[in-house]
Formats: sequence, C-alpha cells, structure tokens
Amino acid sequence: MHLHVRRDFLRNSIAVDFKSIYGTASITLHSKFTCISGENSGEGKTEFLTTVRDLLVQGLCTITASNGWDITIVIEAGVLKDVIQKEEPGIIIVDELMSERYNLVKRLSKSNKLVICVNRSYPLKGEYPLIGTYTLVREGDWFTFKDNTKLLPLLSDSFTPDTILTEASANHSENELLSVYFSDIKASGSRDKIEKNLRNTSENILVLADLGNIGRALHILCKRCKENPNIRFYDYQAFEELLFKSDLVQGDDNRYPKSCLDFLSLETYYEKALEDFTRGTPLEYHHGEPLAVVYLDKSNCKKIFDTDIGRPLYKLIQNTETFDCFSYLKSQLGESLTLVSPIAVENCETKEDCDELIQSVSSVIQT
Amino acid sequence: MLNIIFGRENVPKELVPKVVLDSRSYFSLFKKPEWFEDPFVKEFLKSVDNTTVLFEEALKDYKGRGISTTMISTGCKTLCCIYFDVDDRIFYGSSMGNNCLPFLVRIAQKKDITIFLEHYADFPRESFSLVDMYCNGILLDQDKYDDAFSDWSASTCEEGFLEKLDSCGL
Repeated sequence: MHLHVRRDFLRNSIAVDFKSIYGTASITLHSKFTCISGENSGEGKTEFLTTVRDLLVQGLCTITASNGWDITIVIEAGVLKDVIQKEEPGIIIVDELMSERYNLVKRLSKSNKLVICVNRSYPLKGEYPLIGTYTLVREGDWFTFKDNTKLLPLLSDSFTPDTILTEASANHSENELLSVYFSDIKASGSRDKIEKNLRNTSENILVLADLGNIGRALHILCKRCKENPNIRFYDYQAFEELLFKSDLVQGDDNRYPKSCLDFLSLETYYEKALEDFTRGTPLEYHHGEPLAVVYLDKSNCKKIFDTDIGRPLYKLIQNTETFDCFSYLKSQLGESLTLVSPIAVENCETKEDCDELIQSVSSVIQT
Repeated sequence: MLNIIFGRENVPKELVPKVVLDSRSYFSLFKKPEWFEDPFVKEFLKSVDNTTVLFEEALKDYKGRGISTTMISTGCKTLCCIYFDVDDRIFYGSSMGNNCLPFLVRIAQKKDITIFLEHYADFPRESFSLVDMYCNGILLDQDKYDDAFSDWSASTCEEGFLEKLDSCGL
C-alpha cells in the first residue's frame, strides 16, 4: 500500500479552474509562483493559453480563482509590464516568463500579483514546491494539468531502504534528528548535491529532501530515479513541516496567521511557522542551528514521528529496533546458509538463537 | 561545437548585446519563407511539433489543421533561429525542450553555437561524443555536465545571487 499522504489545501491556497466547452482543468496555487513546465517542446503549453484566450473572447471558457481574484493571460512579450502596474491584486498567467528581463521578473515578485508561469526554467532562485509545479497534457481538444508530485517516486509501505540520504549536511536538521535512530545516514549538504549522491547507484535509497523547495532540481532528480528505480523520496514539504506538525510542537496551518502565498516556497513557509510557533519555548527552533535537545530525546520519538507526516519514518525506526535474524545469519554464514534447513532459520527469533545456530553450523563445517 | 553558459548572470558582459532572450519575437521579425523548405527544418518540425510543411510558411499541424509558422512551438522557433543565425547570437536554450536537443547537437556539429540555460536540459548521453560541448572552458562529458548544472543551481541559492541577476542586464 502506498503511504503517500495527499495534502489538503493549505489554508489560503487558491484553486484556479479553467472551464470550457471542451472540458475543465484545475491547478492550485500554494505559493507566489506556480510553474507549468514540461520536458519537451510541442506539448501544447502556448497552444493551451492561446486556446483559452480565444475561447474567453468568444464566451466559451471561464477561468475562476477560488478567492475571486481577476485572472489575466499574458502571451506576447511586452504586455507584462502594463499588467503588473495594475493596482488591484490578481493572478497573472504568463507564457515564457523567463524570456523577460530579470528586472521585470523582480517587479513581478514584489507585486501584489500571484503568478502562474509557463516555462521550463524557474524564476528567481528556483525555489518552488513540488506541489506547485505542473505538467500540461493534451487530451483530445482540451488539456489537463498533471500534478508533478507523482514525478518523484515516494516512500511506500513495502520499501526498506539500504541507505538513507538527507538533503541536510551531517549533524544538521533532519540528519541530526535521524542520526539518533539510524546508525548510517548519508548527508548531501544541499538540495543540489542530492543528485550527485544518487548517481551510479542501484541499492534501495530513501531520500529526505524538502519537496517544498525542490524547484530547479526536480528534473535531474527524476532522471536519477529512472536510472535507479530503487530510489524513494520522503513525502513531506520540509523537515520543518515534520517538526511543526508533530505532537511535540502541535503546529496547525489553520492557526498560523501567515499565508503560504506570501512565501516563495513551502519550505520557507514551514521554517517561519516553526520558528514562530516555538519561539521562547524549550522547543525553540532556528534554521541552520543545532536542534533543541528535546527533539533529540528518544523518549519523544512517538511524539515527533507518530503523525500523518512522520508515520512512515516511525515505522522504519520501529523496524530497525527489531533484530533481523535472516540478514544477520546471511552476513555471518554467507553461502553456508544454504546448508541450514529453512525451519532452523525460521525458528531463530533473537540474536542469541542466531549465534547458537551459527556455532552449530560452524562445527559441522569444521568436522 | 556547443558552448553552454548556465545562468544569464554568467553571460560575459561583452557578449550581452548578442543575447536573444525571447526567440519568439526574434523569429517573428527575421523568419523567411525559404527557411521552411529546408529539409532539416522540415525534419525537426515533424519530430518536435508533429507539424508538416506544405509550402514555405503554410504548415499543417498535428491535427491536420492549416497553421502559420507563428504557431509552431517556442522550441522549434528557437531551433530555426539558431540554425539560420549568422551573427553568433546567444539564444536562450531553456526555450527548447529535451526533444529539441538532438537537433541542436546536429547543428553544433556543423557550426559553433553558444546558448545559455536555466534548467536541466537532458542531452542524450551520446551527444557528448557527437560534438564537443563546453561549459566554463571545460570539455563536458555526462558527469561534468551534470556537475556544471548542479553547481550553478546551488549558486543560485547563495548570498548575492539576486544582486548578480540585477546587474547582468538580462
């Protein structure tokens, strides 16, 4: 069973619906910029916008935002400047945003507009949540948006990692926390160094990366996952989301006054939320600094991990605490394990049972 | 030869006047009817857009509808501009999807091209043996190309990146 937890709308997320005589299509805006990208040319990104624009003119299509904001489509170069200058907040859908000069993109980022940009490259620092990126797919005369959350394979029930790889550097953030429970965690050091650690691998690897800021790294990571189908990503927006929504912090998106749309990425949203929620308490969190000792206390394992976000990790932690007899026997006996009856192997429940069996097999071999 | 620059902020100042950010408008201004009678152009239009050239700028799209050249994909417009460019322009490579890249490599086998990229363009592995590809003066193979992209992507998260973008003029 797949353990992927679908996210409900964050408070303040905005749904944008395109309804035409050919069908409907929807996307959700979770941050300032939402990107519709695609690996290939000719997929229909510009065609979609020109089709929608033409249908709008004929009254054969509507575009609505769940917060009631106006939506403007910008396809040609040179038009964006005028649209940004409008006083009212709104949503702008821009084709090939990055073909504009940076100064205009900067003005857009500081404006009171939310942006749906149709382009292959990500504006500014390229910090975008995975749930904020979409691929457009042609369906007959119409189009649908494919949510990019499915581009990266996510951790499932039946997956046991040989290696856990964190985005964070050694002894920082999730690496610091998970080192309490797992003896051999690899650290990438940054989002952009994850892919190098995944090159030329074949083993089962669980990657803890902030999907809330996967942005520009997405497609190279997808490539690594095609090269090694045994890679899985942990389904959370950020390590900070894990802590924020833990039973220790008891953070609640609905009670947090800031809107996710004010942030460029969901990672920065959860960083701020966690800092604000824990300020002045023993749980106080500061990005980039060592974790408060209360997080590293093993007695808080259940409070931190036994939540919707943390449960897959909780199960992995519990599994490591169970002694794996078969793996131990295999590592000690190697090929000689084939000489042992399956029933004898099955009867081993503890390390002591295994050691006894190993001793008797070794004596038989010596004889 | 294909020279790749990652990030518009890394385009050398003296080359900035050569940069074409928006190949759509450049294409509109400079396209010629005879471009579309070129077999190579016909080939990539068919492969990338599934569009057939009927006669010069009269095309038939993937649904059999008559379209003009203004309606081809941005990737194909960019390929046209690069293919017919004689002024050593530097085009925005992120306008092209992965399906344009084999054609870009074939163009680079015939002449020296410089593009700048701001996304991970997944060149087919054989590209690196078909044509010399360089970034920052380093001859690329698959690993070095991936390193160059990841290093640049990491640099965009560093202090001062937005200021560099501000001052690059692009």
